[in-house]
Amino acid sequence: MVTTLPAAAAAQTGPWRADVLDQVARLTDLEETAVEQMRAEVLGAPTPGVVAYGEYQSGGWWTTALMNMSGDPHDVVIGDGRPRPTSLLKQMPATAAFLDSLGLTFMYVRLARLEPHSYLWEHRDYAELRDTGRHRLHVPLVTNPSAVLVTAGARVHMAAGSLWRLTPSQAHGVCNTTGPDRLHLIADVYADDAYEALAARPHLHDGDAADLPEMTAADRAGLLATAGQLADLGFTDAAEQTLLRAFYTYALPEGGAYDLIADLHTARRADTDVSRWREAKAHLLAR
Amino acid sequence: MSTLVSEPGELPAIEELAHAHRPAQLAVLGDLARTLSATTAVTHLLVRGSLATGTADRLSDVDLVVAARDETLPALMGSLDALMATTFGALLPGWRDTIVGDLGGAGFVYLLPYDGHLLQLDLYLCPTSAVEALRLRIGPRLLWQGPGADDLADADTRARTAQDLALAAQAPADCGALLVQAMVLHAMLRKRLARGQQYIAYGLLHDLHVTLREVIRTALVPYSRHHGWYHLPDEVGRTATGRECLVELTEALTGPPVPTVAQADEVLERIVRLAQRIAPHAVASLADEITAYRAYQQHEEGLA
Repeated sequence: MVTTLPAAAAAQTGPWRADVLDQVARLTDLEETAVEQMRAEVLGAPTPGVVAYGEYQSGGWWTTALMNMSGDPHDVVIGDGRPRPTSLLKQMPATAAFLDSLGLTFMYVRLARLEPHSYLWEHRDYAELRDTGRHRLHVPLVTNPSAVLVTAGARVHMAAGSLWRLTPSQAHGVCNTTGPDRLHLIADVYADDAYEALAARPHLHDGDAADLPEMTAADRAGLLATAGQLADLGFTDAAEQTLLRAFYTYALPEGGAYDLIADLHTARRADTDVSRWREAKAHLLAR
Repeated sequence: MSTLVSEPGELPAIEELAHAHRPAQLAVLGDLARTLSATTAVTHLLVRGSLATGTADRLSDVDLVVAARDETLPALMGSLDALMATTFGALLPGWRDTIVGDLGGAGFVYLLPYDGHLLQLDLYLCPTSAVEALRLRIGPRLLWQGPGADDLADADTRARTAQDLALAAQAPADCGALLVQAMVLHAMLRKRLARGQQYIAYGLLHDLHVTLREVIRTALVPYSRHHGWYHLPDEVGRTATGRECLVELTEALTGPPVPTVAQADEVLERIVRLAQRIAPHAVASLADEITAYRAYQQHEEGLA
């Protein structure tokens, strides 16, 4: 199912910053037939999934478990353990065969659907889990150019056809601005020799990633003015969302979008909202 | 996208069924009403078109009139794109509707992704002081009326708002706005073709051709003192690029007056292709939106 990375692939790595490559990278190309079979199974899955981790998102992030501790596909809060196939995975033979072919030690496997106009705000994962070596693998099955991961001040589109590795313990966010739906198979795996072999040659192709621009003082003032006007009109949620999206447009310092919202509410003397967003920043970034 | 309409409580089974299968337009209308009625800037929400008359079908748009207090209308108009993007996921900035009649305000068309489709929202923003005249003229159905809706602004405020509306209407469209216009008109055209409404399709194809002309003129002769179809060869044809653009324009104009869907698609692709050449920054800034727009239209084709 997994094709060996040709030697020439090393030349495709490009001059990407080490911090970006550490956080998100292609590991290997996948056989087109296997991806197509999995795509067909996923699109035909009988459940849309359930919403979890609501505090991390704008809405629109649906997950369905394929391997977990209970075997219930709607039990989607990840945790440590030795998972077993859910009832859904038992109906998806191509996907099950693909996972089996990887030879990895799985912690949790799920399908994730991100609807159009949906955002996972800047956050860190794994903070609540025990301290052991683990990694997150992504298999993009349906995607579009506006579906990107932002991390380390870069915007990365995880293209279909490859197995990707994400380091979710670093601050990151995901969005699907325009749609259609983005569908990824996500596997959290424990570090072992099989994983190390699979992950030996992380790389990015030309066009996978782009640096985001720095936010200028004028950009910042313009955004705050837009958000302030929305808030003055009574559209506080829209004002906050306008600023949260700055994370996907500009290379901000960690938590910078949350700071913008706190600044907005400070200017409006909305102390409760300032406190709420400072707490959200600490929680989402696991500080 | 969440829905406004609350879950049915003790409804009979038939009503629960009707609620579960209500048209997507009603769900979106509910969301719009919930959001827009939450601000004191808005005084009336009115619905018109097929949703008001009960003749909506799967392709119908949402026709909403939003009346805003005269003094807050300019701010609401300036915030509309940000509101529609953040709260309703509008695919594109609003297109300033030049088809709708003058009802004392300003019309905007948005394309909203909803359940795998693009739903068209025609939002007409008017000052509260103009809402009674609008109701008499087009007879929309009242959806919601806020407190103080009968408090009218003084003459100075009304005059300032009217001036802001006039200035906004005169603002020239840049190539980005023209690309948005092209996609919105193309979506409208495809809908009319699907319904077999050839006369409206003829008009919309003409509007698309005008958009093609305006992309060419705006990109190549941004300070033109001429308008419409006048002096194109003199102004645009001065350069080799301009002459090539005019060849493209001529080719587009020699197609049938009522196109097939494929021919309508060709016109849009021609506009995007030409813009890529003469206004590449405009295309780059909308690259994801153009890709997504095509994907939604392909999805519709698959359903058809």
